[in-house]
Amino acid sequence: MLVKDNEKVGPGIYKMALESEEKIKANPGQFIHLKIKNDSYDPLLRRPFSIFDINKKENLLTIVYKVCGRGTKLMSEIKSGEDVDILENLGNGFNLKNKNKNIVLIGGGMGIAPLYFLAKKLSENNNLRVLLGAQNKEELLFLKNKFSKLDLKLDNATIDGSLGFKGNVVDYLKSLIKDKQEIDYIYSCGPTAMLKELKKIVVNNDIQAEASLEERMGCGVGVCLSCTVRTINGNRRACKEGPVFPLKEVIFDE
Amino acid sequence: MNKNNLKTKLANLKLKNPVITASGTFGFGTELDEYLSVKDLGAITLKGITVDKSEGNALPRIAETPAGVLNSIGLENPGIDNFKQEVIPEIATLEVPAIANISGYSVKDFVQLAESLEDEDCIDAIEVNVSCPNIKDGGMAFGTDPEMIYRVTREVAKVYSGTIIVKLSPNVTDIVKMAEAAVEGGADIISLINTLLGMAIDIDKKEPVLANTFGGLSGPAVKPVALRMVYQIYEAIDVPIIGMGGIMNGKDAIEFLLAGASAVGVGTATLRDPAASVTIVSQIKEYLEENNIENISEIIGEAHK
Repeated sequence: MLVKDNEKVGPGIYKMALESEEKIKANPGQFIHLKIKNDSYDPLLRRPFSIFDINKKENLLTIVYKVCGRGTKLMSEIKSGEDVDILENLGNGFNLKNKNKNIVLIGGGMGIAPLYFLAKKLSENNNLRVLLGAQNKEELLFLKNKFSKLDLKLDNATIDGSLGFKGNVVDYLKSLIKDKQEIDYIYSCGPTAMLKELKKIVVNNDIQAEASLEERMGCGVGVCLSCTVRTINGNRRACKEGPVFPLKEVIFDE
Repeated sequence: MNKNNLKTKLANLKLKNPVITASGTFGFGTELDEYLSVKDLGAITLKGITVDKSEGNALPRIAETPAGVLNSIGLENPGIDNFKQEVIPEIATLEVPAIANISGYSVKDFVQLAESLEDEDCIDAIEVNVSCPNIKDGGMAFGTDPEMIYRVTREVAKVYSGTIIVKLSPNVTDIVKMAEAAVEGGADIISLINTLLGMAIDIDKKEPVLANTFGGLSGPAVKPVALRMVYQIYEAIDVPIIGMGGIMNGKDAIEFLLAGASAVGVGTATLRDPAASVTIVSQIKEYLEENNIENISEIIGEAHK
């Protein structure tokens, strides 16, 4: 795919828009696997990114990523007009069948990225509330502004308290539940520690929930078994059967 | 006229071309249908199986290193019974020779696995994995002791009448001794190398990256070591060799053939590009065309002067 633009939108946070020659079919929660360099074996492996947004009319697919290692650092240096090798439509996305429900979306850090595409779809037929969590205001600004243009209720939580609720986003959810906020269904994506905590809440309050897991991946296409997720139904591959799983089925390490 | 003939023969294995997928990088043969057609390959090696089902190691199981990958999957697999019931029927439908990779924690395990595959017609060979670095007992412990390699191979050969490949570990001081022990035990083919034991450390967390601490290194970083070992054993043994270790493209594959391999294994390249193995087949063909080589067999071992 052709890199349409690759711009900085926050501290170490970038948005990359990719233009496809073919029609984009991806669903929210699915991911792409991006090869950083075609002409060098270093870095060797691809990097997986969930889809932030797609524009079907212009055949554009957008990802939002944070520079956190060598691969993403090199990615941030990719210029508009460059060609990148991408494996598309990977994994199974979020359940889009919910209608007329009170739905809460909870995203932590870069885990917020796939929830934007999801929110656009779900807000058409549901009552949506979105909780975004990050370290501070700067990290959240770009994402928060995007969500605020959609038809939904938006809440923010920051660890340093510079925007919205002071604390983590799961604690904020707890306060909503305490205030008898009606929740039929939760969608989530974020670090493992956050999802582990969230699982306790949805189990205790008997709320249906699904989460997209951020596991370290190798091939992204189901052969290397690097991204195994333990579930009550046995081992599953995050890249193939996931990355989205019913949260109650995921077994987190103690 | 058979121009630029890619056919290669290893013991009783007749392959249409010398490219074989390496175990653990190609699932059970059907996972990558979307990206390639398996019948374009010489053969496929299936994900390693053990007697009992295995959940594999804790995560993280993979870490990238300069031009390499460390893995500690730990042989996650459904076990031999499920393999026979669920996987074998699928393998039987594939139009490509299939090699079953077997791993054990004891000599008895290897014998049981080989015995239970004896009557499976769709399995064209077994690869005895005496070299997995990611399991605590067995695996590499066998592969670093020539006496154990000899014993495992000999016992497997007693119960398995088909083609036996023994896959060697590079984590040894003298690879030639290991290869000779396998041949003496009854190996029809030697494959090498498995991964090199290594590790990576996260300097922020001040702890090993892999949950298992150590893992097996593969990818371009290990290629020179693998190539050297293929070259060395080619001079010492008379059975065919499947060379592997960091083969990413046709040029790499040709190097292994010149070093003495009759076929090559492609592993980590598939993790980067699902269709890498078939791309390598066409790149080998291009090399033969450009160099006016009629049969691939002409170049095997040619680097030995």
